Order: sequence, then structure tokens, then C-alpha cells
Amino acid sequence: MPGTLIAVLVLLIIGIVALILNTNLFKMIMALTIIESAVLLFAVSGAYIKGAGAPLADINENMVNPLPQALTLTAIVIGAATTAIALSLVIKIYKHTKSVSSEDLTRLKG
Amino acid sequence: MVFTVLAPLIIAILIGVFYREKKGFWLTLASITFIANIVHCFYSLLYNSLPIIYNLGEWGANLGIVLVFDQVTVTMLLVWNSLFLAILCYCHGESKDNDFKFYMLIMIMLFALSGWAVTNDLYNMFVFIEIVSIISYALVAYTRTRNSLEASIKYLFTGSISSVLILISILIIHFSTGELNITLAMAKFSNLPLPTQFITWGMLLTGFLSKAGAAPMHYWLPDAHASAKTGVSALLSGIVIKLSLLSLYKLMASSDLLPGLNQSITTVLIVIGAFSVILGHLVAYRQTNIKRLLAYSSIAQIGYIIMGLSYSISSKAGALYHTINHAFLKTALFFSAGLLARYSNSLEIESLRGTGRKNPIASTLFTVAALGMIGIPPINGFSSKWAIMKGLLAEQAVLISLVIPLGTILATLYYVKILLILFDKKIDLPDIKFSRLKAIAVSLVMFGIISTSIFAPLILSLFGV
Repeated sequence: MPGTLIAVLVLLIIGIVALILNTNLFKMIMALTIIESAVLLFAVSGAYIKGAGAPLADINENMVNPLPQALTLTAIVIGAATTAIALSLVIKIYKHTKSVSSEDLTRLKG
Repeated sequence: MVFTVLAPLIIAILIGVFYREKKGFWLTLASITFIANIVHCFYSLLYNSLPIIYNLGEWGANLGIVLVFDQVTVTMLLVWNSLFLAILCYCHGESKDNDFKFYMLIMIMLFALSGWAVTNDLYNMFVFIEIVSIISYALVAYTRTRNSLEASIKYLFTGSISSVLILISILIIHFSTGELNITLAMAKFSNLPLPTQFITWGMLLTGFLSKAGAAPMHYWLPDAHASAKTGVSALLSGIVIKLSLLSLYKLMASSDLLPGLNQSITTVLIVIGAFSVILGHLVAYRQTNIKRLLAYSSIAQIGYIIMGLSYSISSKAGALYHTINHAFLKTALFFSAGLLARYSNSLEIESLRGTGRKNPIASTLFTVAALGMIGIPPINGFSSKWAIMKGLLAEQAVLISLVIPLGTILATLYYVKILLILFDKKIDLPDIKFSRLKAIAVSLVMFGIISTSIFAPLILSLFGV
């Protein structure tokens, strides 16, 4: 458990640092995906019980928590939808500005 | 009652299958659904004994998903259905081509909103919030202008990071309690060691407040709401940003917080709320674009709701009532501003000069809604702010409650400035004929404002005061 938790933290930190440091929109979207994967890893590893088998009630008496695995599937779908919409936005932005750098998006000032 | 939630999804699928039909067909179909839902919600508010609880699949509360239709939920469904009717009427015929995608997005959005309102499952709540967010990104970018794309991607990055925070905290709650049902999970979660609770609530608050556009994390909101088309701005400002605050209300209502934690959450909410009120109003005063001004005003109103959520039952009821009032008032403001801006095809406040005399209906709507935003007594905005303030005063938070009259003074400054510009003398404006559907939309919103003003004590009593 601590091993995977460290992996989750490392992935989270990589994602956040990449999101902050990059100005390329594609790389920012990749960073976002890395952060999402870290959360998914957290979900699956949190459900793990030491020595337990796959959640098949007929075969395994002692099984891991099956719920987070189902939740992870849904979260993957949500992540895919977000990434898809982000990528399509980047394509449209490229048509307007001929660049994929977030530094060229300065029309609006927040 | 479940059909009220499912009907928009069915319509959305039908639109996807028969997308070659004329636009008027979709509008008729959607309007019939909305009106049926409105009537149904009214009926169950008056005659059914709420809450109605559905156990999906007959599983127990600890295994399956439970749908709860209580007073708050049904009132929200009622308000959302009527606002969506007005928004679809307003948006109809704005683009020349067959925009069935727009109708689909709107219908799925309503499905997700209603599903969010009725579900009592943490993960379901997250999924519905995500559907609403993803559709909001798409709707902001719908006009495909450079500004709207830029605003949408900004919104997307902020929104995704906040959803990650919300997801992590939901997972922590699930792992530490073994439950996903909100009532059971939050009740068990209150008995856990304090550090876990502090971290989780911190992430929940950060996630939800930045999705709502509260002050330090508000930077995406004016861009997104000002760049979308007018109907969508009304939808986002009026309904979508309130969703995360309502989730926060839902979670706080079912958890029995320890005194130390409760104190810190209250402090955070009060500080962020007061900061949003003051910053929103001050920055709104400096805007030259009418939609950006209204968006900043939304930040301020969000601040009132956050302040209301922090304390007693009375101020919470005030906050819920204010979400409804602000939904109607902000929709009215966006609609009338959109109509008036058609005379000069510009959203600059200066170019609206004199349009108020040219189009008395739109300017009356704008005036009434602006007065409601300021908080002039007979209009609904006053009653809800007064309820929030009474709740704060009952908890001896006198200094904080003074932020509300201060906000009123600041709001008066810029709304009066706009009203003076609107009713200024100017002759050379072109004649524009508006379609009858726009008139229907305007009168629906006006009706909403009037009825929420008249039935103020009744609505507050629905929310438990």
C-alpha cells in the first residue's frame, strides 16, 4: 500500500509541475491526464486488501473491494471525454492563432 | 417522479436520432416536456408528502443508489425546468443552420442537473457534476469565436483540476467509511480522526468553491460567461455555478461536524464569501462590457450564497432562496442586456445609450432585475439577502453581516450607472423586430421574478425556516 501511495504522489507531483511549467497546450493536456491517472491509481490501490483475490464471489472467498474498480471505469470515461473536448478546443484554437502555446491566449484578462 | 429526471435524456436521444427534423419541432417537444415537468413538480410540492425516496433495484441504502425527492430538490427541479424553457425560447432561431447539437447539449445538461439534484450517492453526484461541467465547456465554445475558445480552455483546465480534488476527497470518504450513500457516509465520516477530516474537507471546499467561481479562483468565470452566447451565459451564471455550492450544502447538511472542524469551515466560507462579495462588486464597477459586468456581479452574488451557507439554518435557507432568486434575476439581466445590445450590435455599455427608451419591455425587465440584485424591498433579492443577514445576526456575526449592506451600496453604484445610460436621450436607433419567442422568454422570467417575490415566506418555509 505505501508503495502505490508513493507512486500516486509522484505521479501527482509530476502532473502538477508539468501543468504549471508547460506553455504548450498539448503538454498541459497530457499533464492533466497524468493527474487523472494518479487519481485512478489511488482508487484501485485503495481497494486492495493484502492476499485477497479478484472480486469473483464464486471463486474467491477473500476478495478485494470491487466498487472502486467500477468507479474507476466511469472515471476513465469522464477523463476521456474531458481530454477529447480539450483536444478539439486546441485544434480550433490553432486554426485561429496558428499556435498551440498558452502564452498566445491573452485576449481575455480574467 | 423519476420520469421528471429521465425525460430530458429521452428527448436528447430522440434529437440525436431524428436530427433532420425542423428546429421548431424540437422546441415544441422540449417545451412540452418542460411544462409537464413543471406541472408535476408543482403537484408534488402541493399534494405529495415529501420526501419521496426511491431505492433503485430494491437494494438497501448501503448497497444501491437512493434517489431522494425532498422539498429543496423538487423546488430546484421546478426552477430549473422553467428557466430552461425560457432559455430555449430565447435561443431559438439565433443561428441559421440546424443546430440540433445545441438542443442535445441543453437537454443532457438538464438531465444531469436533475439527476444531480435527486441522487443521494456520492459518486453519482460526482458523475453528474462532471457531465454538467463538460457540457458547459462545450457550450462556452459553441460559437467557435477566438474569445469563446480561449475562455473555454481556461474553464476546462480549472474545472478539471477542481474535479480531481473532488474525486480524491470522495474516494477518501469511501475508503474510510466503506459507504457511498451521502447520508450514511457523512454520518460515519464525522467520527474519523480530525486530520483526515480536515484534509478531505479542505479538498472538497477548494474543489467546489473554485468550480463555483468564488473569489480567489474566479478568473475563468467572467471570460467564460462573457464569451458564450447570451442564452448560455444566462444558463451558466444562473444555474451551473450554483450546482457546486448546492453540493456543498448537501454534504454539510448530512454530516454532523465536530465543533473544531465546523468552526474552521465556517471561517473559510465566511472569509471567501465576504471577499467574493467585495471583489465582485468592485471589479464589476470598472467593466465596460455589459456581459463581463454581469459576470462579476455573479461572483458577488455567489459570495452572498457562500456566506449564507456558513452559519445557521436560517441563513442556509436564505442561501438556498438566494440561489433561486439569483437564477431568475441574472437570467433576466442577461436576456434584457442581450436584447438591448442588438440595437448597436455591441456589448459595450456606452453603446447601449438610449436603448432603454427604444425598447421599454426589455428595459423594464432590466430595471426590475437590477433593483432585485441591489436588494430593493418588494423584489425577491431583498428577501433572500435579508434572510441571510438575519441568520448571520442570530449567530452574533455582526461585523460579517455588515458586508451585505456594503455590497448593496456597491451594487447600487454600478447598476444606477447603467440605468442612467439606458434611459438617456438618443434618437438614431434602428428599428428591430424581435421574434415572439423572445417575448415569451422575457415574460416567463418576469413571471418567475414576480412569483418568487410574492411567495417569499412560503419558499423560505419550504427550506425549513
